[in-house]
Amino acid sequence: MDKAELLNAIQVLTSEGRLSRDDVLQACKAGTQENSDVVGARGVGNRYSSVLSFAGGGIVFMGIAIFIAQQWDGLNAFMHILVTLGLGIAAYFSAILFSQIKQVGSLDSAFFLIAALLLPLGIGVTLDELGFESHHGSMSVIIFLIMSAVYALSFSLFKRDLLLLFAIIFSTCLYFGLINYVLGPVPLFNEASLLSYAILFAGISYMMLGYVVHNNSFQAVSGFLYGFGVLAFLGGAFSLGGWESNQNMLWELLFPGLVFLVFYLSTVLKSKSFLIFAALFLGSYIIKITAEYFSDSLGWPLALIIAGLGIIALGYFTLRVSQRYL
Amino acid sequence: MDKKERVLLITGLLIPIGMIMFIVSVIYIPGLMMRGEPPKYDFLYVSNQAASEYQYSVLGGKLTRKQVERAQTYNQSIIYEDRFYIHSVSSNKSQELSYEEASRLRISSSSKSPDGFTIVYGRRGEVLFPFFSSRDYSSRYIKKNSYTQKLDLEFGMDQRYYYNFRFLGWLVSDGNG
Repeated sequence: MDKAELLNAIQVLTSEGRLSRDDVLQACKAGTQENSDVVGARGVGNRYSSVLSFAGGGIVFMGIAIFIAQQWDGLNAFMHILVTLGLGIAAYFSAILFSQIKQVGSLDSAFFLIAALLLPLGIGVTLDELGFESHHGSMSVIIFLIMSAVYALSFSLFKRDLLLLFAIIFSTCLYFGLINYVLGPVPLFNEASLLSYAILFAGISYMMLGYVVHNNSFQAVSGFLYGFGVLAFLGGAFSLGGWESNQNMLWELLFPGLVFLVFYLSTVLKSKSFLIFAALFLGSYIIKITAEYFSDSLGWPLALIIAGLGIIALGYFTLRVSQRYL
Repeated sequence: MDKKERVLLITGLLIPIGMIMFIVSVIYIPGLMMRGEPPKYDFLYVSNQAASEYQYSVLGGKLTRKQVERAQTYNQSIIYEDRFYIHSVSSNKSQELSYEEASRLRISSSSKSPDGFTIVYGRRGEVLFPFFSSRDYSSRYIKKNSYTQKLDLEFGMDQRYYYNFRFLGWLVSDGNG
């Protein structure tokens, strides 16, 4: 019986009263549970393997870094480049080879991680040994430009979550590096405000990319983008509001609107990280505004009571949204 | 990928690029940002304060000093003399004067000049911005909103140390600027 025939049969039986909606829903639930038990068991195994691979990769990198640091003075320039850049390139190509072999599980992830940690160091060492003089972070820009290009190209070839994640991380580092470089030595801007704006826009970019990535089968990366995106967005907006005696009224008035926008988006995108961060930031905002504007007029104890009640209401609201929409 | 996702992808990638282009254009396109009026008030500063035997302050609009115990320095045989300078903001040059001449000037010790300028450190960001970027103690700029000009100062024996330039006050006597 194919799907169309089955659905037709359900329709007929339901119209005759021989099958209810609850019967159909119960059958679906039972079927999904069974599958998830099987997939879950397999999934748990894969997850442990990935975690151990990552942990192992990180420990390998630490070992290499400590060994190199201990032997550094005794090595010449060529060896400096070989043990950093050379090892990084070797790890990268090993990862590519392992990614072609299904039986090794997530071994390639461990080697991509080692390469991601070693290659920037290797490029920096190489530039330094070649006599490159960094001005205002120009070396950082070159390193992250190369790393972003390498991992973006790798992602386009191999379509792996981890490669996309590293491409995004290195591109973010490149973004901040470029801002630092173009600012140069001149203190033209209020650096704290500029940084807040840079983080806020990075957050917006992350959230947009998270949506695209989520709808194109890279849910693991979308979780990272949503979480860090909303944190950066709300964090940037919160800090732009300023603190007592130096507040920015526009951002202080705008912030609650942005938080409720994030609450709304959490229901549309079904994202728990949006909901949690919106709740946390709204709670922080309540405390901040109470302390700034009401502690002198109402007195600290009353201000704390109002803030506390606001946060309790916020907690209830968050729970209701989570239960109803997520 | 549908149209909405394509728009979001392009917008998401263009936002950081737009931010960087905005900063570049503000800094490097002359006239894009209103620079404002140049500074008018000269200022007094002291250099070589590393191991000074005096502590300087401004009282009643005049420079005064108080003898203090000389700070421990690396080489006790070297005597560091405090050197006073008036910096002309119009010519961006410093002229040395004695303590006696400096103490006769009328100065305002406010960090902000009467026309709203302040003296700030330059930027130094060699490691990963926004982490570890810090002040460049070897440079100073005079700044008000979007007007920023590097100051050509006399830093004394070692310009790496912040105490080798100590701002004392703005000259508020007649004939400034």
